[in-house]
Amino acid sequence: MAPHRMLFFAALATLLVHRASAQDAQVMHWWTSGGESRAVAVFAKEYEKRGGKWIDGASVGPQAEHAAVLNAIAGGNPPAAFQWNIGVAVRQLAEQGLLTNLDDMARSGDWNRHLPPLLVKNITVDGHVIAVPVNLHGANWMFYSTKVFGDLQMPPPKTWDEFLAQADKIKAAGYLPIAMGGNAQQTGWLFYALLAGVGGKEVYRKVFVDHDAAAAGGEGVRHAFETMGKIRQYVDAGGANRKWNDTLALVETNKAAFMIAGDWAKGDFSAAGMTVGKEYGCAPAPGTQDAYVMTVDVFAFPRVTKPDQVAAQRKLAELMMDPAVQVEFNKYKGSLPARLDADVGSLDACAQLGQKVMAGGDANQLPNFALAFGPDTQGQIEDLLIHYWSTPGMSAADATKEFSTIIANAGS
Amino acid sequence: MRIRNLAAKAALSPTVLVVLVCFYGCAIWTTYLSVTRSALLPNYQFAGLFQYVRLFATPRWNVAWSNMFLFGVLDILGTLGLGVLLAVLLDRQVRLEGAFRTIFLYPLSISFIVTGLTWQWVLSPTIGVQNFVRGLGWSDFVFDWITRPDRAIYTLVFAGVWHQTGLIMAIMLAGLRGIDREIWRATRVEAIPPWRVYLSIVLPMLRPLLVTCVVLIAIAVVKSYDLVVAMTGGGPGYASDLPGKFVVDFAFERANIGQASAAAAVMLGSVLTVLAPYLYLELSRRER
Amino acid sequence: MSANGAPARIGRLGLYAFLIGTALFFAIPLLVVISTSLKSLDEIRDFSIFVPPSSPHFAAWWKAWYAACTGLNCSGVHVGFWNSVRILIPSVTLSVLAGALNGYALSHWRVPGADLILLALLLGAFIPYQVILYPLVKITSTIGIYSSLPGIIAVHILFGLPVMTLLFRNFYAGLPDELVKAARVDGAGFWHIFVSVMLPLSVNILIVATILQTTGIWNDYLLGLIFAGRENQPMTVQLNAIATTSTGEIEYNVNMAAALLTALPPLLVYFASGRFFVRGITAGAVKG
Repeated sequence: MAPHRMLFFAALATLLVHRASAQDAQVMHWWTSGGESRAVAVFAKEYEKRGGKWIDGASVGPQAEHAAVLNAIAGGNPPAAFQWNIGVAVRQLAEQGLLTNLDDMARSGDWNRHLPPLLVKNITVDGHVIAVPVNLHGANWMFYSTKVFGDLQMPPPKTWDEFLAQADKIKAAGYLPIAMGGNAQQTGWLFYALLAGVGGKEVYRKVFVDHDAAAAGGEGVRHAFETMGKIRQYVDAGGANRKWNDTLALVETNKAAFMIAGDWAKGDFSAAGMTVGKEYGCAPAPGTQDAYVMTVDVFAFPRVTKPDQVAAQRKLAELMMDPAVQVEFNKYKGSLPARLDADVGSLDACAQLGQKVMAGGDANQLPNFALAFGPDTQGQIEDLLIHYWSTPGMSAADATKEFSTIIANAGS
Repeated sequence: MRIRNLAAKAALSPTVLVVLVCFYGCAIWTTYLSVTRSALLPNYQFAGLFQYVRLFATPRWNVAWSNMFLFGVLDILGTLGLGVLLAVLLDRQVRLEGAFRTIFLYPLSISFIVTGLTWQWVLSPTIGVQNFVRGLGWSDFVFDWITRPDRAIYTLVFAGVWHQTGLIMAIMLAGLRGIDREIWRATRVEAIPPWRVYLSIVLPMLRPLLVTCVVLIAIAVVKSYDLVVAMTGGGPGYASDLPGKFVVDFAFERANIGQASAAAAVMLGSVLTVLAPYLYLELSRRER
Repeated sequence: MSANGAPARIGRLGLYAFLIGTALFFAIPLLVVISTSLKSLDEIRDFSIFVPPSSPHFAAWWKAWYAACTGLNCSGVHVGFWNSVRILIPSVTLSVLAGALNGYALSHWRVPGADLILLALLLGAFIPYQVILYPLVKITSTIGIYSSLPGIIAVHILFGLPVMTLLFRNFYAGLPDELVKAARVDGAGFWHIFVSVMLPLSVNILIVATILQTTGIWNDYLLGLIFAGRENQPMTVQLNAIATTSTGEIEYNVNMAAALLTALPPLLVYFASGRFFVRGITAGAVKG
């Protein structure tokens, strides 16, 4: 064969090989529990339906995923997309110019109109849209075993004081009053519920939104820490380092009365074949009936240059913002879709309840750690919480003092 | 004696280059990062001692730092004490010396991960010692150090001693075997009891070897990562954290390069502090 | 001989008692892991960790090898095993050869600053990984080998260079100069002498070096965790992930079987190599 012909075929071959991997997209996330994996599979299937190849990059837990993503970006081999909770960290990455802008897609899809204002504000950095929000989680839910409360003929507690009054009775009946695991995630969720439920929404706002160190060192926070200390005696001994879905299993198997978790727990229940209202019930965490501590999952796209990588990213972004796909995703994930125009009628009773609280006004919408603080401050708070939780000898006053110092250093 | 040749220099240059860049260059790079305001990503603006001030005001670091000394001192005393004792005993011409040596040394061939996991299981209150003794009848027996924030760090000592005593034993035994048998003959004539001989004559002769052992264990303690990850995960909370783990956690999970570099620089300083007198002693001994 | 009489015999008895007691301390954790891995979950729930299994079987081993879960992936530790093998063979071969070459060059050829190089290597051997971790990540990613098999191999070679070079250098320095001089008179060059004169004489030290590197690299955790990449995670990393992942009830027998499988290769090397292992660790410690 003549040399130039060989060259032509060689070029064609590389083009074909190249095309075969053109729509490969590695997507990093930390959704490894039963419900979460089914949810992310919705995106994967949709992506494959639209002609792409989904390469799953799951890590166990947010901390591990954060590390994997940052490593990959620092190492010059970023994934096509990665999941994160929207907040200061993602914004910092955008400020460093590491994320792709989605402005034209946001414009043509009119995202500003279809997302809650707080979300729009958070996914926009320097006027550029840099992330796709896929859901709106509430972190302050109480999931309880209908069997346990049925046996005891008590309603689930509406305030934390009520819980403390009930706890001994529940314990005497042979159940665990509360299911709790000793890791950063779960102590964080408990803290949201305690600060909002014991300290109150005002105090919560002052600390999380205004970074008010005086409020962080005040009565409300101390009361919250005290309650956390009291809760300690009602948990089981095997909770250290236990993952949240393993802790939830205690409620699923009717060994514990309830667990404080976000609405992502619903996915785990359904994966275990349970339905809300039957085997398990959902209610706002004690004291937080009109508060919605928001945790928003977004996908961000590291800046890439190759056209096929850019095309893969756009395909992903498009399907993730598709209202129908979002509803399907959230059915398994347990959260509300981020898009306001998504049809939530098919979602369960808890979602409807959450929707009502959200709709109750901006005053009900509280930020989580990621929305309020940078990863550094969040890390310090998480260290403090897990340390306080694991150290019975530490006083609530000391914890409050340390918390106040952390908030004081949190910057603007 | 040594022949001038380009090939030798050529063969060595990759190594020299790589060692210079990767070990020394990187160490300097890390030290520089520790005086910048780096956080999620590196930032090369000079920031003085900002990171160090923050570091030593961080409760978790102070726990890790003091843990290093607690663990280190006990680990050194444990491995040295037991290792020297075993070497001395084995030096007494025991039967089955080979078998004993094999048993004392094998943990050294096992990864720190396996060591940590093994001891985590043995010391676990749920399936380990505590539950076993309770099963025997002493229902009030408690040994839950590994889940207690104030005791967890000490459990690392068990694993550390188990893992590393063999090394000390092997080194000291080799040293003891090198002692001139004349000394033994002389002391027997004088009817000095063996333990006295060891304590007052033989071990002091092996002082350089003892110092080497201390240095080796000390540096292993500073570097400790695998053991604490497998055994306690740094917990409960961060009660058994160590600087080696702190650096890795802050560099990767916590994404705070500045703090991680400051902690790493402190680690480097610790190693140099242990090494400097050692090297000085070694080099001056060599000159004598 | 030793003094006669009851005191000496009691002393001797005490010596053996102590040695046996200590040997039990060393042996029991491993025996516990072995015995638990042969039990069924019911027996483990009975919490009799020091009691041997009533009807030992290898079901847990099979599961650990083929079906143990880390997060979503349930394919067992055989994945990690082969990854570790793929990492081990090139890393050991190249680092041992590099060390031999460097040691030869430094001991028999005139190299300017040889003593400085040796000192730099000695210091480099002590630098903790954590101190140069982040810069190494940046360097390997700039070259394009971060999070890949070549990357982890390169990193292992890097960290093996100091100890290997020192080991071989000390050995070759003990060989007579006439060897090289005679070969030069015959017209042989640097490389020829290395291959045809030095290497054949180095069998023992090559075995020692290989054992040192095999044990060190197989048991590594931190470097593999960071530099190997998702598809090449070594067995130690997989083991830790398995042992700290729990969906539902913790299967201690499977976890322990996985730990044993991870510990088996270097353990076998250890038992097979006897004196060479001891030489390796003491030579690593007692540097020239």
